[in-house]
Amino acid sequence: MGHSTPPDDEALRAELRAWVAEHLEPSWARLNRAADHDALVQARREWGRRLAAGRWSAPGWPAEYGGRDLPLAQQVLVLRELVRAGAPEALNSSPISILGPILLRHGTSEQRARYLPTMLDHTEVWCQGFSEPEAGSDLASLSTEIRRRDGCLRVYGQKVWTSYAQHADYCYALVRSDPYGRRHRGLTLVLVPMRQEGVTVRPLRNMAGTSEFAEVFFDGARVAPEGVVGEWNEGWRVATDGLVFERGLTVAGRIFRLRIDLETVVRPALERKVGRALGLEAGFRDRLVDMLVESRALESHVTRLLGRLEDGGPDGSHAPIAKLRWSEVHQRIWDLALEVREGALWELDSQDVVTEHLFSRAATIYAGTSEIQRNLVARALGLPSSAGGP
Amino acid sequence: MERSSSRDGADADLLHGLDDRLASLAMDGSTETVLAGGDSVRGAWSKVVDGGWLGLALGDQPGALAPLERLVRATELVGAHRLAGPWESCVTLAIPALARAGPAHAHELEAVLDGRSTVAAIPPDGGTPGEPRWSGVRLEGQRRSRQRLVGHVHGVVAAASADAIVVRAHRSDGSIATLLVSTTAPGVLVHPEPVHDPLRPAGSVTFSTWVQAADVLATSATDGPAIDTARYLVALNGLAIGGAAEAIRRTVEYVGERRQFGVPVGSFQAVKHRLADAHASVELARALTYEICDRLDRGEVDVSDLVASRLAAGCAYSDAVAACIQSQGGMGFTWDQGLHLWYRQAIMMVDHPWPRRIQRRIIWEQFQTTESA
Repeated sequence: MGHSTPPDDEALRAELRAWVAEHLEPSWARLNRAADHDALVQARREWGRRLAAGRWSAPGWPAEYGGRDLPLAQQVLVLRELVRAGAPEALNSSPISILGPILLRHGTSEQRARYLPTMLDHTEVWCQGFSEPEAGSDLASLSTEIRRRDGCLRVYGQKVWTSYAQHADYCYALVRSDPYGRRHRGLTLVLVPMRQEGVTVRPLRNMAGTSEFAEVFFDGARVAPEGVVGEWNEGWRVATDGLVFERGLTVAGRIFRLRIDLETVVRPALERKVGRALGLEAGFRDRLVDMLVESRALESHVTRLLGRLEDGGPDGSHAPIAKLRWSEVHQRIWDLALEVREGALWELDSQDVVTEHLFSRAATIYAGTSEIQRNLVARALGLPSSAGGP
Repeated sequence: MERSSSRDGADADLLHGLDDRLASLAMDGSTETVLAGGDSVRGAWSKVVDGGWLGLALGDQPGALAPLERLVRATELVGAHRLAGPWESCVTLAIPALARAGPAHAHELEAVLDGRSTVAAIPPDGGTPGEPRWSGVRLEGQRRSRQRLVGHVHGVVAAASADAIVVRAHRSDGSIATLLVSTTAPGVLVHPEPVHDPLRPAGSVTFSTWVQAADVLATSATDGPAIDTARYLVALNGLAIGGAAEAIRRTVEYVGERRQFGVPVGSFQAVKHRLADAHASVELARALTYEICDRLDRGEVDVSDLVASRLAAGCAYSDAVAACIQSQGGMGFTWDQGLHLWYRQAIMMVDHPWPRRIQRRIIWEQFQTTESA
């Protein structure tokens, strides 16, 4: 991606802070999952629309597609500022960070012109169709297929854990395009319109009680010719590029949020419970300090990771380390937030803590389980593959 | 930090040269010779400094200190090769103090750099990185042009093999004097301590001696001691990161070759994941350490970050080598396999210069005083 001369950091920060002060609804700051699901979705969609209008959604994208051509360091600055302001993630944040770069790198100019603007401004909502009931960690074993039938490309199969599928207009899906292709060979990345015959969405309820994700059944859903991204049968390579970016910028935003969660959730709870004499509660304090230390080191690590992405690719361990350690610190934070309550969960605000704690259990599962991340780190170290395994 | 590519290239050549030198010492059995009692730590240390490698502590201009990133990269190599001697205290506490003292002490500096003189240094044992304290030693009294240096300090690495020690002592007016004291001066007694790390034996030093004005390298309450302490902490991190990475590298090699149940033991997820976790902790410590290098070289000191990096690197080192020992099984537990050399250094360093309890307290106190980001 080309870069025009970037603005000065301080000028950029000042511009963004002023813009956020004007456009971020106070009620959206620190939105939590205890809120009404539909209200949360609408708020995130509206925030995404406003971010796009201000050209803050994807500041690294070319200006012609709604970005600002900012270099990576300033994209990180923007991310930090939005996290600092307590802004929620835009509803399309995941496709913007995954499909967007894929289209910029592998898509045609027509695809970029057709899909990127409406993705950014949230005119169209997107979901990701990768995982299947029999293809989770072993994604390459997926079996949803695309065939030519009645002169059209049609998709048959089932996806699962598809976030926001019930709200989506499009699904970017990895499908098997070569029936004789094995594992990651013979896959294609396609863009499937969700509001058509042949697509059935069945929301799934998570253990926290909300239904953010769903099963998606494809029974002859049509894919337009312009809905094929990159080369036919090269979908694994095309999609893997996107997964690298997912582990990069997305995890960076979450890492920057760790210390904020410690300061805004855990510390007040500790102080309220035991007063300022926290020296007496060394057990709690030391755990919080250890999380602070690891959060701080993670910030350095992910900044290095993003720098390497810009220079042409990280080594194999930086990205999985970022995701692995973020997810585990995130869980420990919400463990501590709950533990500090010491069972006193009758207060109204305890629902937020319990809900966030329940949600935190997913962090070590989605976007690559911690077990898979450890295998990736091990592979980067040069350790042998497990027999028959990753 | 803006850097010229030519300087990066020169640094890379320099570090490759150091790596080759240290590798040659390891291969010639220098470490084993020390362990077998066939050579003293002083003898082994002299081989390390031969060639002027301690000059890495200094910058290109007279009196300037080396860019911290380069120094820490060199220190990683020292940690990896696990050689004898007080590298980190020498390059961050002793040599900078001598260089800062100017022409009056140029000959002493030269003797240290070319290996004719071995110098140890006493790290702080109290306070914080921003306001370090040396609780064991003080300067008191005045008789003509002399003052009395009194005190007792434990755990001074290489004290028994040093010709002189760089000492920082508090005066009653709050200032901190930096002195170069000969270990053979009247009233200076060095006692060997139990040897836990045979490559870095420590000693206790008792001072009850008169010092002249000429022995004083500097008098400052702040800048010198604080800057040197910050660089010392980061150098400790370099030893930890380099040592941990080397232990992991050796273990990856071992578990790739060792076979059980018909497959390399390194293919078992329990083994892979343990080493992956160890590597992840080292990489996080590495990232924070090098960010701090960059900021310290720009004059930015963040006490919380400094101590956080020490805690991260220290724990990463000891946890990583423990994981390596476990992964190498019975062999990992043997003396000959050598992992204990890294483990001994790790467990001696994790509570240095402040215990982990104090490190956490410093971080907590800083956290208490900061606002949300």
